[in-house]
Amino acid sequence: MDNRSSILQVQNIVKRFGDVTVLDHLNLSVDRGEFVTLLGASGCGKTTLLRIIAGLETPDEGTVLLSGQDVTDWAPNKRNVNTVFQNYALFPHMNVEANVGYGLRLKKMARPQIQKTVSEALALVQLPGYEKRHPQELSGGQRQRVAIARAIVNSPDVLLLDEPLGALDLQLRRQMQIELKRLQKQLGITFIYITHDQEEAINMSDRIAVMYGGTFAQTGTPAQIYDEPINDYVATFVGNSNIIRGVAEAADGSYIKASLPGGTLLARKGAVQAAAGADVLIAVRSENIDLLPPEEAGLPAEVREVAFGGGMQRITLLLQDNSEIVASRHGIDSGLQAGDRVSVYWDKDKAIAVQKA
Amino acid sequence: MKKRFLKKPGAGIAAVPLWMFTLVFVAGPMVYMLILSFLTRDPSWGVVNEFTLDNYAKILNPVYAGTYLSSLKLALSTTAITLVIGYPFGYFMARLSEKWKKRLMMLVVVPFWTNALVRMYGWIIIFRSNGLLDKLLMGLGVTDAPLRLLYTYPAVLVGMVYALLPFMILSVYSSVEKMDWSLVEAARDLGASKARAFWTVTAKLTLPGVLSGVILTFIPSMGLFFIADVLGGGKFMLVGNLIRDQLFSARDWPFAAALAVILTLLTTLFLWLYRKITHVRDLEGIL
Amino acid sequence: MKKKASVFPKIYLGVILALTYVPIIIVIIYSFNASKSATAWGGWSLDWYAKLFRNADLFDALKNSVVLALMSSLAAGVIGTAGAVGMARCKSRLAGAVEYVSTLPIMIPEIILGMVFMAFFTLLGLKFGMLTLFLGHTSFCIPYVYMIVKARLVGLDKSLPEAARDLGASGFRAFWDVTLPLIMPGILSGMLLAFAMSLDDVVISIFVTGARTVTLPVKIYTQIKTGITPEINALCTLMLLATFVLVTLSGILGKKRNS
Repeated sequence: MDNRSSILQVQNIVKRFGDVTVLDHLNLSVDRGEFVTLLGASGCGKTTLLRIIAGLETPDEGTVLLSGQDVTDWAPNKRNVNTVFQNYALFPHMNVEANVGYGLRLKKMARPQIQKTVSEALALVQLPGYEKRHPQELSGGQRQRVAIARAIVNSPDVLLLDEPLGALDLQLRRQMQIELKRLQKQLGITFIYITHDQEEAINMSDRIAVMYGGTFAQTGTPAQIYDEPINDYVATFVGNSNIIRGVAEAADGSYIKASLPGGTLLARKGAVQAAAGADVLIAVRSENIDLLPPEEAGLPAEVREVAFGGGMQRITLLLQDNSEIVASRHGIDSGLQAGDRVSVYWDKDKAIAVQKA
Repeated sequence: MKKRFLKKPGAGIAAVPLWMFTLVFVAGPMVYMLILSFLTRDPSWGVVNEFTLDNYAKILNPVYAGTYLSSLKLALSTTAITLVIGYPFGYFMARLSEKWKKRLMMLVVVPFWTNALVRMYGWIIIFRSNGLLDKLLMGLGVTDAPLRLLYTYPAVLVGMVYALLPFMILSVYSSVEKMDWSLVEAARDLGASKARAFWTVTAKLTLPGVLSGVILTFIPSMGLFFIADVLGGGKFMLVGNLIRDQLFSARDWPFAAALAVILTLLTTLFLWLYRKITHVRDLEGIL
Repeated sequence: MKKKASVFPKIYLGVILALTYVPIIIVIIYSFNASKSATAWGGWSLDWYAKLFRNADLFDALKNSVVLALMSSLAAGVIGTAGAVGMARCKSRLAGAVEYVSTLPIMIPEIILGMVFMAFFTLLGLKFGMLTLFLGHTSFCIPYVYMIVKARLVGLDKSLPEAARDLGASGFRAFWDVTLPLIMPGILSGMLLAFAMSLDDVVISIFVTGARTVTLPVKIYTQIKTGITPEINALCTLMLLATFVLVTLSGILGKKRNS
């Protein structure tokens, strides 16, 4: 396990709150300078994992290694790791300068040096000259920048960010995503970033770890996560895919032939090694579903509902096994309406077999 | 894989002085009171370490039981009057604008922080025979002879209500203040009359405040012996007066302890009931 | 809102408030009464204030009361604050019980507290005087500080001290730099309340006071009982003034607390 370039290693972490196991034997290795996102719905344990890395929580089992050193039992102040808290946690009784310089004061840095470093950090987050302001006088976005400056000024080995953009409006969010990414590249600091927003995760990360029920459902690059989900949770959470149940008929090279409700279609094999006769789940995103006239080959379906929203037409379909799937069309009027019969079809490269999470 | 069971002692240590003080100077005296209540009084001086239940039996003696009952009666009257006056006050106050809320709060708190004896002294001047009230009433022609209100039951009652009213007001205020008014509006919207909306929604939601106010007036009114002293002229005995007299005059400490134990149990019972009914741990509006 | 509905509450609030101030205002007016008779009005005068300032006994009592209130509110400030901070970390049943017992002094009627202290201090063989007064007053001052500070701690964003730890502060340093300044208004207003309560206390003081060390409320109590001298009016007026200053002070602190 001793990887020279890995700056953070989390090994077999278990955390229980009472009878509930929040983290169940987690393993993660993060390289120096990497931008890793922990993606998951609320309650999946991502914040707990972050707090364990920061030292604000102690795991029940397992170890945390920073630069190869076991820091599991180290107090948070002994670790060269800093956190940007979800609600920013700026000290309300200190001005911006005192907030940002707090870590440096603890390191007993000389006063003029602190002033210089603080103003550099504020320039970096594009808040030059804000030293004497109080947190109460700042907007949400500005507080966010101060919180980031306060953390990076200590040049941590790893910067932990707990849904840092969660409280900002959509436009500011997009802007901050770009800035954060630029900052990370510029400083070369390792980021561990928490979000429940899949788009944010895909835009920013080098690597994404999708968390589900206290475990990693899948870890990989944004492309891998998006295009090659290994289980139904990742496929639905990240790709908003439809999941269709079926039985494997035969495997043909990198494709699998699946018997689905009312017909047989091909899909990529992905990570699934399904023998003939085994149950399979096929994931296919709504925009990849083709709707053909009923007489063509495919899965017979009935249109349930046609809704228009966000420049997209969402067509809810009922398959023969009474499961619902959603197909979407950009802009154009599909000419379909409730009660119409269609045949559901997809290109074999656009669907993938996934495991049950 | 190693497991971690041990927790560091940490900041919990800061509570040690509190624990020590509580143990020695609160729990200690209370336990001693309990023990004392089962000991025998020495005919000449002090107590003898002999177990007895006589002190509790003595409470049933009509003289003392009577005092307990009349003290309870006064406490109940005080509480009822305080509630009738205090509820509308707290309710109306909570409906004022923020600015006026703050001002009124200040005005309510000043007498509250004023020495209770000083305030009672004002009532003495008012109630005294040929005092201010008599002069006012005779001047208006309402009465033609002094009422001699001082050292009467109504005088004591006024003093008690006056001393305890702020507790009721603050309790009611704090529960009305944090009530969600949209619930009342919803009730009105669903067709409830004003009165019905008040009874079905407001009254229920402010119940913790009312109960807290009731406890905060009822419990002290059993023990405020100095009000009975200065406004009642020693003619009216509260449990408080009884305990004090047993300590200072009769020198029957075990009996005083027994009286105090009963009063403590009564208090605990009320607090327990409060928590049972409202599921709120701390009394509303106490601070 | 209809106009009619909004008038009655204002009248009600005004009348009740006015009534609560009647006895206080009367005391103030009578302190300037030239007549020796406590009931008759004999014109304006400052005689009673002059007399009051020559009354060494009363001033001794006042001094005792102030010293006592200062000491017990200070002790309560330290013990109560530390207790609230420490108890925030203990979640055991025992801690709950300790909390119940430690707040008992402001829950049970004062008379009981006075009586148990008198009995207990006699048992310990303590000399009745400043020490017993101090112990007695501290016991009921602690709950005020404890409860206000605890409420303040509960309302404190937990991530603030955590952020300090995260930035490299030791547990104590995080408390000192972040938690303490943020709960300070609570500590001060708790101590102020404790100070006022101690200065005001008659019931408990009567039981634990010594023959030599008399507090002001005890002195006033005996004077009212034995015979009224208008000096008391003057003294009460001065105490009202002091109270007003204290309340204003705590109001200013309260404002700080809200911001």
